[in-house]
Amino acid sequence: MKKYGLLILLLIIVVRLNAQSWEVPDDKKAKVSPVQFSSETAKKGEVIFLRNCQSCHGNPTKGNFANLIPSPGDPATDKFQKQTDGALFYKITTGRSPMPQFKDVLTEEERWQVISYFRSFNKNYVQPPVASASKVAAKQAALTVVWEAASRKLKVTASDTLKRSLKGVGVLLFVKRYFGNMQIGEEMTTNDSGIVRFDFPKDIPGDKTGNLDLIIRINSEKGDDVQKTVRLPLGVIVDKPPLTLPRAMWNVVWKSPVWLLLAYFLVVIGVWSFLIYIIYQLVKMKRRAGNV
Amino acid sequence: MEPINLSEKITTDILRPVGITKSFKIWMTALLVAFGICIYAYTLQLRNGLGVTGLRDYISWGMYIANFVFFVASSLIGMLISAVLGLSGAKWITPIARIAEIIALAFASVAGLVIISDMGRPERLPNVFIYGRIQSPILWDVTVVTTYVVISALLLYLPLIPDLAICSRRMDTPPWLRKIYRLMSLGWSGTPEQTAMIQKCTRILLILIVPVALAIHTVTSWLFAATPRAGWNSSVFGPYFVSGAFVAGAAAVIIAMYFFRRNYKLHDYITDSHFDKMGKLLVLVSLVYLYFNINEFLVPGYKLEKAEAKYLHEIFAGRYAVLFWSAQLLGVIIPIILLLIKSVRKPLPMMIIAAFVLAASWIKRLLIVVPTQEHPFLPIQYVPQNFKFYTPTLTETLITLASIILVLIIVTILSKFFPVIPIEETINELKHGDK
Ligand code: HEC
Repeated sequence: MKKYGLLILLLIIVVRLNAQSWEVPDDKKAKVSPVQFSSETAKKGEVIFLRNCQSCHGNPTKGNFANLIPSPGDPATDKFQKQTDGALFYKITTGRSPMPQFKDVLTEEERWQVISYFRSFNKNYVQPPVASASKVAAKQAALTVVWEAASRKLKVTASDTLKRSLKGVGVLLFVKRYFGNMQIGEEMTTNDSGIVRFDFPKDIPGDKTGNLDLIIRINSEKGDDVQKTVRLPLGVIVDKPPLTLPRAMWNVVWKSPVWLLLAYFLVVIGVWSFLIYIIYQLVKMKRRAGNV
Repeated sequence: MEPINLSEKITTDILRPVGITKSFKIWMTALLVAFGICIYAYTLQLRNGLGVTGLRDYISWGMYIANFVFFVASSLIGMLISAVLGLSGAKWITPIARIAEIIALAFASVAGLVIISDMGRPERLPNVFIYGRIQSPILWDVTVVTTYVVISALLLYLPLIPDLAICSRRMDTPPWLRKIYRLMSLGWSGTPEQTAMIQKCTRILLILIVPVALAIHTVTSWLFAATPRAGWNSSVFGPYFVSGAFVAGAAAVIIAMYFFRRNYKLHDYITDSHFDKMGKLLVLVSLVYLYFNINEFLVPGYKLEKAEAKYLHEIFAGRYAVLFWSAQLLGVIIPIILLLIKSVRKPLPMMIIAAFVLAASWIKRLLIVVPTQEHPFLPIQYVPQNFKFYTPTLTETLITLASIILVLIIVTILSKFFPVIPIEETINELKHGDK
């Protein structure tokens, strides 16, 4: 028993120690926001925070964060505010269990908006100069997607409005799933011809015809991401009969079990026919008496 | 004594309290004022939503649902007295059968309204019918409660028809009231044909009401028992509810008997012997109820399965222990012991005991509904403190009170405009007795 106690104690200490050392690479620490923080970006950040983060981090300044180990902490406190924007961005992006990673859930712009919201609780905060104009103004980018069946690769070409290829742009690929987007591979950078090729896995379940919805995204440092959705038959065909086909307790009323329908309606009709008979008798009595 | 005079005396005695009297006006005004205050509380709930109650995400059934179960329970007594005892030939129930029916009708019809008070958006009630699922015990409950209200109303009305004819012939009644009586008596003149019809229909109703009444409370118990939650996941819930219902209903009838007898001066009709018999009946149903209580708590208490153990601990020794044990002792065990003593089975002591039994029945329903929800299988976490435990608010209490006042209003009106004791039947029985 004692041994176990010691082990658990050790575990707690390890976890606690671990909790204090979430290292952020120096270059990531130095990263700065490409957008100027304003009350408007903070507002948007608040909406995102309430939807994605509040369940664990509580309401900033209230200290009502969830009781998890390691502790999520209150974003309005020094625990967060003493860190650089880049460090916060890195942690939100990568996560560390139980803190989820938001790389695929929030766009970079949205992540910066949340940080802007955090900073709105810090009067002493001065935003470092925004990142210099980035390599690409993504709004002007266009994406073309070609499926190369022989090599099972998805070829994405990025070009600007004048059809000039965009080189050195980060492209991400996702497959749309029920509860979010699943990233395929890593972020890839376009080559000199503005092209990236993603290896595409064979075993992703698709719909009845094997269709998948692919999302191709260029993360622009300026925050104006470009995104393109294409539907391609790259998935495994999944054609299971729907669960609602047979009669069952959980189905719609007219597909509920026969015995249930029979029992309910027979009993209701049975009882009520007696009641209607009695009411009819009363009406008859009244009518007869009226005739006399 | 001449039979004619006797029947005249009976008619006068029973009809004396019928009509609008001064004390009726005072009592009704008091009830209506109290009801108005409670309705104000309901407008608050309509405007601000269920947030004004103590109900939250986890404990979403509270006082309202407990009160609903209590009302459905109390209404079952109509069936026990009129049908079970009546069909088995017990003659002594004649003077109290109508009282039992009035109570049944009042409780059953308000029960439906109580459910509506538990809805944050009552205007969406039609959706229950439009999108109702036959697979859901809730729909069965709506069906069976409606049916029971109709049967109870008919069972009150049919034997009343001959009495209504008598009322309509009484000269000292205001003309408008006599007109209503005449209309409602459907041209009754006591012909053999009419008598046979009423007798046949009453008999059909008496037989029909037995399964329907059993169904109404069994289905109400399934609202709980059909879910696999600690404290509700029980296979004796049906009979447990039904037996508890008879206890609550018998107590309600005893209280009503006491006040009708005293206020309407019906000592010659509701006699000490009736109280004696009702006392014995209450002991009988309480013993059955006690038996089901032992089953309901001893068996899971012996196994102490994980989730069940937490729940049982709360009601045996935790937050609900005081309520639980006082309901069991003051509402079941002590009444049984006291009512076994002959000298206790007298009107006043029985009325007091019945009041305890009735109050305990109400509390018991709260103990069935609430503690289970405070102990779901997945722990309640990341919610404000007041989501974890249920504490009813004043608004909620007033709205609940409104339903109880409404029952009193209905009972008062029914008993003020119609004879609470069947005149025709009493006379007939006396005549047969004379023969
Ligand atoms: C499932 C619960 C959970 C959710 C949801 C969650 N977090 Fe966290 N978060 C944590 C935990 C736990 C930690 C501490 C992790 C550690 O120290 O290893 C944490 C840590 C962090 C940190 C680093 C704090 C530090 O002390 O370095 C940041 C920044 C952060 N979260 C931001 C967010 C944002 C922004 C969101 C929403 C987009 C979010 N979190 C959603 C649980 C959560």
